[in-house]
Amino acid sequence: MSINLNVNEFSGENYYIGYTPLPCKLLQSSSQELRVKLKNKVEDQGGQLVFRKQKSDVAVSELNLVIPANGTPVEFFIAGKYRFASRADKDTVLVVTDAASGMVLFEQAMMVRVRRNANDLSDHERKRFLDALFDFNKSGQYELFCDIHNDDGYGEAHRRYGFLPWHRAFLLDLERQLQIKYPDVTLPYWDFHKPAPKVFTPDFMGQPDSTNGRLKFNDSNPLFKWSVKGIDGLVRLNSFANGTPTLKSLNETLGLSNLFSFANQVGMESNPHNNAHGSFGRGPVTNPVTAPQDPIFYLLHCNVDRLWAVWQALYKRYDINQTTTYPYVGNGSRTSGPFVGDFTKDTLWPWNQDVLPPRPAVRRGSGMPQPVGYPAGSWPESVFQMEQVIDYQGIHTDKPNYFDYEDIYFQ
Amino acid sequence: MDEFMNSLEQLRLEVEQNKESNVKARRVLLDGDPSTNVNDYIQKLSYVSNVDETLIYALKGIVENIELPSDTRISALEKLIDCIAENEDLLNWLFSIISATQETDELREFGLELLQRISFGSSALQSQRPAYTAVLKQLVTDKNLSLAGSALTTLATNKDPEAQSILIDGIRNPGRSLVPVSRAIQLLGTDVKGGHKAVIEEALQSALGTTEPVNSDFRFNLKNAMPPKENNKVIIEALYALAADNDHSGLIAGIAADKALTRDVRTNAINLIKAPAELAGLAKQIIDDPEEDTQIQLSCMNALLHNSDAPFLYEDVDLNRTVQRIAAKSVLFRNASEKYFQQQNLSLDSDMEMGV
Amino acid sequence: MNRYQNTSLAEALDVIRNTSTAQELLSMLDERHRIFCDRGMNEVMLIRGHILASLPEKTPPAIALVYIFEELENSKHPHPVAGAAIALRNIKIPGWQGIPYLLKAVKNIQHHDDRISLGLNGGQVIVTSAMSELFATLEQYSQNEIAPFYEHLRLFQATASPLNKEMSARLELLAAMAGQAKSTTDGDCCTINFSGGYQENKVNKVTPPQSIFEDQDGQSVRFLDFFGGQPAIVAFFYTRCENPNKCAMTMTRLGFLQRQLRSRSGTCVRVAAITYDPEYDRPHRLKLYAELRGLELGED
Repeated sequence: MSINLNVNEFSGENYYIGYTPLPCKLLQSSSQELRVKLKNKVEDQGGQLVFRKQKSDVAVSELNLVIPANGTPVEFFIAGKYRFASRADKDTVLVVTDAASGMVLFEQAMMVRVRRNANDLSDHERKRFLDALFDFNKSGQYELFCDIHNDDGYGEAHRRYGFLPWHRAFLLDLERQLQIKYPDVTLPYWDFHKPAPKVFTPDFMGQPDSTNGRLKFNDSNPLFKWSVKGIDGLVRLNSFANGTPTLKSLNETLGLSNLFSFANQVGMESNPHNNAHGSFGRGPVTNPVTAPQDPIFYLLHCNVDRLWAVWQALYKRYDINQTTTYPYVGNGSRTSGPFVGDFTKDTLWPWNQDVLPPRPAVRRGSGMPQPVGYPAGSWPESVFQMEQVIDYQGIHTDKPNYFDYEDIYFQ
Repeated sequence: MDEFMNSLEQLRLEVEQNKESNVKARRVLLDGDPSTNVNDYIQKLSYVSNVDETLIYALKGIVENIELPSDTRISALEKLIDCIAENEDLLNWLFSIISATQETDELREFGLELLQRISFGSSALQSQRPAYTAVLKQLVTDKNLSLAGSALTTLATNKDPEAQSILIDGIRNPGRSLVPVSRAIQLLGTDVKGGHKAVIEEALQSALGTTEPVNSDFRFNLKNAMPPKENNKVIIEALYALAADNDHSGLIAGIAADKALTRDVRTNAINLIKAPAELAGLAKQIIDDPEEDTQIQLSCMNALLHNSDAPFLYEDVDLNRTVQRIAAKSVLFRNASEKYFQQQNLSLDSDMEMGV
Repeated sequence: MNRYQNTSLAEALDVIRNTSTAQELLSMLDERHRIFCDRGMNEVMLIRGHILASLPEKTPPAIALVYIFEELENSKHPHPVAGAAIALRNIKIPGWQGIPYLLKAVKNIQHHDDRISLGLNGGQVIVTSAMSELFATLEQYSQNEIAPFYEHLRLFQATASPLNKEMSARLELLAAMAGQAKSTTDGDCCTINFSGGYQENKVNKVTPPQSIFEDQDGQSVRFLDFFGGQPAIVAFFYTRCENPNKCAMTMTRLGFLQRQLRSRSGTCVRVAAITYDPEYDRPHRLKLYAELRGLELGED
């Protein structure tokens, strides 16, 4: 008798599971139905899985199922357990046991893969992330990726309502490109409302020299050899040392009447986002044109995106047809503001390759990279409407983006 | 799951409490009750938006009130940061505070720091760039040298030619430099098309304490005495500035190989060598040298692991033998060597004689 | 002997001040002129700004306009943009042809403007900014000349990053003026006619047919083998170029052109792009850059 597992229409060796429940099927070849129990092989160690019979059920850590005879599948849902993400690839093992005897019938190693707090990363996780970033830079793709945010792209992504969704897509694009070679890597976030003594160190994001901001790295840190556009090394002053930069607080950010507004109403873009960039005294990260050249950019933005996600969880802002979720539902205009790029039904530049005004006249980048080789659907699509990144867990749309933050569960 | 829902509930509560305490603080500050401790309420206040004109007016009054303690005035100014970023009139008001020589140093310095904080994406600062430059240029000659140095740094970051000539003057006459020389070099170096190579070479020569001109043919070669330790930052910044130019790879390799220089200088130099041939030659020399500093040898190993032109390195059979030999030195070396061979799809125990 | 070699910036500016003929000043605008020899980018830009601002009234517009429009259309440096705006004002070309370039320059410079000093024709030195010079020139146009740009100005007001109060007010005045005259005129703002024509006389300086290039696969290609015998389009660029109005734009357009050419059967036109920065632009980098801009790579 053989047992087969299928997760989100995928069968193979590589299973990366987030908090968003994925539909699964279990099949067996014998001529009699089989009563089984699903559970984690080891408890309290590595990533942990939870199960649901229906997507709306309460998640449980053990699930009894009956697998019908002769290859008819039984369906259920699988997800990572809240706060029990993996620390390394395949450190999570799903086991299927015989319900009566407890005998193990099937095992599958997996990873509960979510975006983690940069300050909590293990040596191994840190190293994997740095290696992935360094390899991507070495391939020549990194600086062309940075250019998306550069100069003419600035207007597509900043000082507008679309700031948060645009950057969510930008981060996801990078994360997926890193995952092609390093599938266990996710973007970590720098929680700038709390001290992060393990982030600004020589073995991670670098320790600045106090007089000139030149970052010190350990020999084994690939960032020691960081070079973008022929400029070697990194400079970044960090006057807040091991404390936190002075920014709009967490409570104040989450209490904003409009997260997406900019200019006079001051949503998230100005503060905490702009000011977090400005909190570094000097270096590429303090200038929008050069900011993505410094890897801290992605940690900072990942946290800005996480704060939006926390706000979404707090007030259940996932329904893309509600203006409380996002203020502009529909399509934007090319001739009067708010412009195309600010509305839920608009596609986002540069992934859409649109070069007609008011979009930048320059073609940069390609479509959104699609995950391959593990269970994930094609959301957002290669060319996507903004709404596809708003409900990133697919709560209303059932089109999840296949990323999660370790502290934001699927409701 | 319950844990998550509870944490959300808690967060919702805190957000509401924060809103309430802001409303209360706002009311007290608008009433201007002299018996209250103003600073306490400013601390409880949220960042002010441009819509709240009455509160802006009240806070401006506190900032301008020279009777109040400096920290109170600074707190009030801080709460206006988001308005200043978007409001030309408020920005000009801040310019006037920073420029006012009779104001306290703390307030002026804090004002300048605020400008730095809002510089990413402030529309007012973008549209007022000419005025901003004028303020900075005036500050460069201010008697407050900290302000002068900060202003000069900001101008030079924007590649201002006048600021660059002041930096060059400071490099040549360190006694009157407004910023540390290492920072001056770094600032000039970031302007890659600035044409500042000559002055940076000059600074490197002086930091190394040599009389030979430090150009791409230069080798420090052990004859010279060790340069003073405080010069290390200058040497390192000069190396970064010159590394952008392929002509200097020989100079950088020479510095990396030089045992008279500190570990810090040498590891930076090793990491700046991009040409694979140069790196392979240097790595063999350093790793094969039993007298060499272990840390420097490890730096070489890491540089080999991260070189962007790895296939070229792999063709070097001698280098492979060197990397194979050093594996016996310690666990750290063994790990690095193993990784180096893994990258070539070889194992550490491969027979190098058989050809790679 | 190069009379400009080792001259300081101040000396170079003196040379410009003491050069009074338009012809001589115009010759200095050629980037290969010795006055630019061994100078960093900032000094080059500063000098170009001074030269343009010094052009006398009687400068022959046909040649000057090429330089003026080029700076206005592409530059993000306040000196040459301010200089070009002043030059356009001085030369007083009739008609509206300068307007689209001035508006493009306003957009280009809005994040890059600065307080600058410039020497004018006649020796006077002014402290100014690129933005204020651009507006001063725009304001010289008559109501009828500005009228065809009404829609353009309104869209510009809506899309541009905020200008400061003074410039916003000046832009509003221009738009209002254009709006008033709009109904009475029927202009065409989309064709630009270089009346007088700029005669390019270097067409015979052909690249030696034996020149060898390296393609995106690292293969050597001889000039004649690639370009011989059929029409070809060649563009120049480098991947590290920071100005989106230049290389990135050229390559985007080249990609568009390539797709258009391919879609019409029977046309066989070679399309090639050559980097200025071969040391940095190694084959893998070129390949990625081209792919991201929608260029199809292959033997053609």
